[in-house]
Amino acid sequence: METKTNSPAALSVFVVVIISVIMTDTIEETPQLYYPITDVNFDGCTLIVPSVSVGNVGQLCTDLLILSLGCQKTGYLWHQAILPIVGADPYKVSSPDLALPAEVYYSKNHNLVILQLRSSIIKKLRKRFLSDLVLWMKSIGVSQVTVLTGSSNEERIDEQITTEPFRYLVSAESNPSLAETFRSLGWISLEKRLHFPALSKLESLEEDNQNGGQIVIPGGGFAKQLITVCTESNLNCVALIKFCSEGDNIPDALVMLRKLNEWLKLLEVDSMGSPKLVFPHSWNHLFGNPPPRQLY
Amino acid sequence: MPLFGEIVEPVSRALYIDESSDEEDNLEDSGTNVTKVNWEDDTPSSPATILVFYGQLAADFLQKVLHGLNPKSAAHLKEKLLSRNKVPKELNLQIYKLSNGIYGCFCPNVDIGKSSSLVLEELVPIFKRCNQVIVVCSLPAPFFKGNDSTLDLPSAFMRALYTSTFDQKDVVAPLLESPNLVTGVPASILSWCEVFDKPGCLYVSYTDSPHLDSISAEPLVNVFSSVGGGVFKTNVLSFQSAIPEPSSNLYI
Repeated sequence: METKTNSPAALSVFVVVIISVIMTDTIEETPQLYYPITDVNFDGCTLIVPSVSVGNVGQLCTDLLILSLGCQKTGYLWHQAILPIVGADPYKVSSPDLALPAEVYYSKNHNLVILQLRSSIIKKLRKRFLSDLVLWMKSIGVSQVTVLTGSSNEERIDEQITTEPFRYLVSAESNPSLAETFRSLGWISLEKRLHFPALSKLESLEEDNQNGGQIVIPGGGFAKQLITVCTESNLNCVALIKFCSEGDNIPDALVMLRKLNEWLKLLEVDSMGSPKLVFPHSWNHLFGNPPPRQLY
Repeated sequence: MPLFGEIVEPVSRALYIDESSDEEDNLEDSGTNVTKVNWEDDTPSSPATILVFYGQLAADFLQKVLHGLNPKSAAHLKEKLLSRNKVPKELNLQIYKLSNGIYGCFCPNVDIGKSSSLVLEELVPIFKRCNQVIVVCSLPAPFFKGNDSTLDLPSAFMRALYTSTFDQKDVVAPLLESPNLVTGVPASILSWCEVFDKPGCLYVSYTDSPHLDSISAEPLVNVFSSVGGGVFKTNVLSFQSAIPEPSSNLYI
């Protein structure tokens, strides 16, 4: 007599169950990236994220934005790729709150989410971090991602030296209206380059004569890679790029903020067109302690 | 602080991974790390406090104190970095049972880019079970940023950072002033405590000497007179020097 388990139908059910068990064991779950302090709905917000880059322009600009807009801290990002740092609250004197490497801030009035990164991303884990970050961005429903980054002054080509040291990068195919907005503000799109780095004169001429080439943001950290991942995930992403060198980069951050404000109209401006800003007290010691009195 | 006339290489605040090469994203990991905590007896069910001593000075302090405590070695963590040339490099992280419910963890310096998260991953199950985590680390005094010039700073002083769930009354050192930052394993432990709502406190000892002596140990002695539930008795904490330093130019 044929038993029930030997029937073809029962066998196929058995095989399906086994396969599904194996698959659930092997498929890696996406690790939780965001740990909220308060529940906030980010749906439809613009997200601003700095790229850890030359001069830390993006991070300085983000600090200014968070304090000047009076943003509320809503949670933390926790990922293996983020190098750990911890410190005291950079925005309030004598506050026992901690400053962690990746914090999320929110401004309800401006429909704005800001991710402040205070440390670097481990290079070998950067790809995984960016894909996890974009998955999170999509899950919270942000409509637009803006990356703030610096780029090395010394790597500029002739056109970039002779014009304003600021560029934007947006995929015109994915977001033609945004590119048009930037053009109307008089901004210049980041030029493509045929060769990078160290152009010879001949290669420069060749580059001038061709429309092709590649996008490079020297010293721009993960900005370009983030745009690529966002584009692949059908998420609008734009990079604002300020050419700078290491040193006192507060003026570069102010330029970046003024440009961002021209576009998003976040802060009120005075008669000179400058946004009203509050500077973090943590900037007081950007260049170390005062000189020893014994020197004089 | 550099000496007068010393040439100091300018460093980028964007650290070492500030680059734009796409190819570097595709580089394979050059080594494989293997970490594991081996408990000598049964895993403790719920330790009250874990004290983590990170860095040479804090570790020397713990070693000195251990002589007076007669602790029981509870566990050790070994990390093997298997690099391309297959030379294993071991990192020893020892955990001692100082008293009932209080464990002391001796954590040597590790490369934060390679190991901190792995070390933390192994320690997290222990942290999850305990009531609070206290980390002690040391930094050179010239790294301290403040309104005073470096030469006017005391030889050794202590600062603290604590999580929102840690009882403020139990903190026995002034708050670390912004914009001072702590990196590495101590930062990863305190960050984990804050994100996952575990009471945690980090004591940072700023000293102008990397060696343990009566001056550099003073802030640690002050802290551990009140921290640790009375484990560290006064006679244990009173000492002149933990490491036999040469006291003469002629003889060691």
